[in-house]
Amino acid sequence: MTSPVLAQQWLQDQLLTEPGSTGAATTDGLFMFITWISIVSFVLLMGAMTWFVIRYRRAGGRAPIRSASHNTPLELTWSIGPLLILVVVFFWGFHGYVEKMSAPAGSEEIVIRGFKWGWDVTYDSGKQPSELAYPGVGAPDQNMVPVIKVPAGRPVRLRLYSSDVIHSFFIPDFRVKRDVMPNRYTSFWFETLEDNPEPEVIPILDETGAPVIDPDTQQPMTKLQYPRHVVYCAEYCGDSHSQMMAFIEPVPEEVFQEEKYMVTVFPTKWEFGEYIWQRQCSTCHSVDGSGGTGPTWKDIWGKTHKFSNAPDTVVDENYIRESIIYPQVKLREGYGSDMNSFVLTEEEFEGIIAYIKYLSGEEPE
Amino acid sequence: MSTIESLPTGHAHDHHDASYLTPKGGFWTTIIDWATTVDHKKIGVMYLVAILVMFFLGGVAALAVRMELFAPTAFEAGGVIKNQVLTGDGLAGGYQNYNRVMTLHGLIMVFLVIVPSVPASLGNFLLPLMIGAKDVAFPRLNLASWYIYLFGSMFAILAVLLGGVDTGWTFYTPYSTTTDAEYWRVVWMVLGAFILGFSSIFTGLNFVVTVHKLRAPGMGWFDMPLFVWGIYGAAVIQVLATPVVGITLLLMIFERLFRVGVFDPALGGDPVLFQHFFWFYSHPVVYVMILPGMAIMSELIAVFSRKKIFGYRAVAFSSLAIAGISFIVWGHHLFTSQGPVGAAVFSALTFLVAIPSAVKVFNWIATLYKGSIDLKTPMLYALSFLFLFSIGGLTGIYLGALSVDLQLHDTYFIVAHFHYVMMGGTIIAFVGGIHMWWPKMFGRMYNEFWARIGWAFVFVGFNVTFFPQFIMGSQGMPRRYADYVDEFTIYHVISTVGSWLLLVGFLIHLFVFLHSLVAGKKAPPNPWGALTLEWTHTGPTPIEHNFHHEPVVTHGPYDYDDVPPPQTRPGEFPMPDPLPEGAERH
Repeated sequence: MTSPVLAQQWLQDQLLTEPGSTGAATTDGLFMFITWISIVSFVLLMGAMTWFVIRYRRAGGRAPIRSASHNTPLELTWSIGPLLILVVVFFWGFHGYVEKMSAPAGSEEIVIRGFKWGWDVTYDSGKQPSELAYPGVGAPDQNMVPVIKVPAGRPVRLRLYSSDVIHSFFIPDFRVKRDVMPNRYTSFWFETLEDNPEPEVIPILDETGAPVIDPDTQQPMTKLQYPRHVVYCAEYCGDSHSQMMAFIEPVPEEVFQEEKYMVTVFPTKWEFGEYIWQRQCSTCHSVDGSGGTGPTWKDIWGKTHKFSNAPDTVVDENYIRESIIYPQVKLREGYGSDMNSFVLTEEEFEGIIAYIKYLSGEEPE
Repeated sequence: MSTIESLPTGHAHDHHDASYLTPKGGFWTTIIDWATTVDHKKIGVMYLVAILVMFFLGGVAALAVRMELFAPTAFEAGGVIKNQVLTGDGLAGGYQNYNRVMTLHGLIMVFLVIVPSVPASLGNFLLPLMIGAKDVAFPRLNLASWYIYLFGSMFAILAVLLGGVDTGWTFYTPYSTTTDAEYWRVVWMVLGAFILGFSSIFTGLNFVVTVHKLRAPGMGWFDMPLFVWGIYGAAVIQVLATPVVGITLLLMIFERLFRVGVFDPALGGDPVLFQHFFWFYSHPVVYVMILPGMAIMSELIAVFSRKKIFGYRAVAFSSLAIAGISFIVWGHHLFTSQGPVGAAVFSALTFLVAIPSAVKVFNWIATLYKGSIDLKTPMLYALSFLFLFSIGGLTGIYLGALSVDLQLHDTYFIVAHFHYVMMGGTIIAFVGGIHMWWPKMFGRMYNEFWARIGWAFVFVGFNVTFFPQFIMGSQGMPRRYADYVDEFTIYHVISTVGSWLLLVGFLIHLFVFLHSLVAGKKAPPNPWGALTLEWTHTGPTPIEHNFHHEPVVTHGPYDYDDVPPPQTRPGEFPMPDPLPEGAERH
């Protein structure tokens, strides 16, 4: 490779992550074009400035030298020249924008709901992602975020909405984000670059981050995992904005189909409740008695709670259901009004009630 | 322009000769005199003090933010939280406190520092002097604007004392209309911003009328110093745009208090409507912030290179062009929330506004050509402006390009970009301007050596703080994050160390200024050899009514080639040989 190509690649590696989608590759071309324009312009401007400052410094009380105080052709040139470059940048940028926004027909659709503070993901089958992962931010046992598997090399359209405030679904490796609105759907699409990703062998870790050892072989246990792309919330949304993450994992078609129709069976109601808690409640409500944005669920069943805006109430099925649908009606003393209404199915209410009972030792193991 | 100080002065000057700073009597008399003054110079000085105090508070909040981000929060076994500097009730409590400090920094720096900074302090002090007027057009309104500034600031401080707000300085709905719903402090903060708007409108209105009506005889529009052009452009925007944000903030308060559905979809409103309203003000206001910085730049560059500003008319018209176009680009803050037609239109218009800003930079650099360049502290700040603002401007191209903005929007790239423009532009020019006009305001020189040391810390510290933010932003680090993944640690560490260098730099400047007030050398009337009217006084500081007689303007503000600067010794600022008889001047 020639050295300008190498220089370009080196610079791009410093400034950008590896592009993960077809749209990202196009965007990076424009990004680097602007970078070179900027470097050249900056060097020219600062070079002229530095040279003038050195050449015409006021040494020994030297007088200024007469020169023209304006020059219309020169001024027109440096007004119109940059404008021509910017016209190119505009069309290039608009082309890339349309490319990322208009999904081709037949895209795999995934619906994502943003809420304070997490992402609730539903595949076209009505099922949710089977796997959660710790993104490295927030408390390891409380901030488990969804791993969204997508079919590699096939267009995927994300349809987004919010159940409370504005969020923004941001995938840096795909060079795209879109605000997530409470009053309308927004969407964008992508197609991953690799249509046949290679899985990596990943050690399985326990809750403390130590590798899990297979009791039979005494070897660390491993699993296959495809390279993942991180997702951030990019629109400020309150306390736990910075831990509102997710992962996108492009996988081969057959793995995706398996994931899309995977049915998770829960042996007990409370285990189903724990599953709901991990996905929607755990950023704010602990289950070990520690503090958070909302009160803990540990050992509360049957207790009488005090409220800043309502009479004392015993924690029972009615209280739990009311607190999920109408969280503002009874605000626990010492806690704010951060929670928004959650729309759950009857099955999910039952699960949460069972889980809270379980956490107070009221439900059989 | 500059002057022939009119007719020979035969009459006794007595008290008219006193500096505007001369105390009127004892301690309390002087306090009352200042508190009730309608003198634009005293009001300018009072604004300067108030703004610098607020800059200090906003700076402390910035340092706290940088300290929190020095390392990502870590966890040890047993739920022990490590590396959280701004702690609170549990992990989320700490995050919440970070959000409050981050919001505080933004609100103070935007509404209480940068918007009023140059116009209300230096603008107030200099505008009438530069156009040869006795005062601004409405002196009482001017004093009222200062008190309204204090009144609005008190609401903001009240909101902080009641626990602070975590809305972000942009107050995006519906978060801002629902957060801390059981408390009043968000209402106080918004009310504070609403009231501050009036202070801004009054100042702007005053300046527009002053420039139109009070220019000295002989001073046509194109004889005005470019400082006046810049301040004028900003004043026009202030008058036209601020009412929009005032109404928007009022609607927000109604929605919070009376559940009137304007922005919150739960009440039937539209949250993007707020963003349109907010940026319809806040984008033009970006130019309210930068135009006065550019205004200072033109003066610094001309005086310290002893040159006529290259292409004076282009620079003057670009101020008006910026003021005009700034009203039709607000949508570029909404590329990720609006539809494709709006995005395309606003992207195109955004590139249009880049041109007049670029033209100014080209003209300033061309002004240096064949000048006589003196690297005093104000000039060092002017050159820093060219360096930093060029980076700020060029990185704006990335953000105007739609496909690239989808990546960079709401990341640290934006944070770095607007700090390079707002701080690297406006604040850097402001500090340079304070140094240049310090002798005129207070009659004493500052220590040049230590001021240059302070400049070096500020310039290096600024780049160390903000340049890494471009890189982590383009790699995907979102803004307004209390915590982050480990990959970004190195950039945050560098950035935080840079913030300490900035602190050292500004502390050095503070001590240089305090030292100057207490023990500084008495300033000569025109230490830099400038030609504008404020340097024509015989004493170091202006007299109470600015001029004994209405000045008559006979030459341009930057005719350094042909006019000896007033109140300087012959030969102190050498001039080129006179043109031969009959030769034409450029």
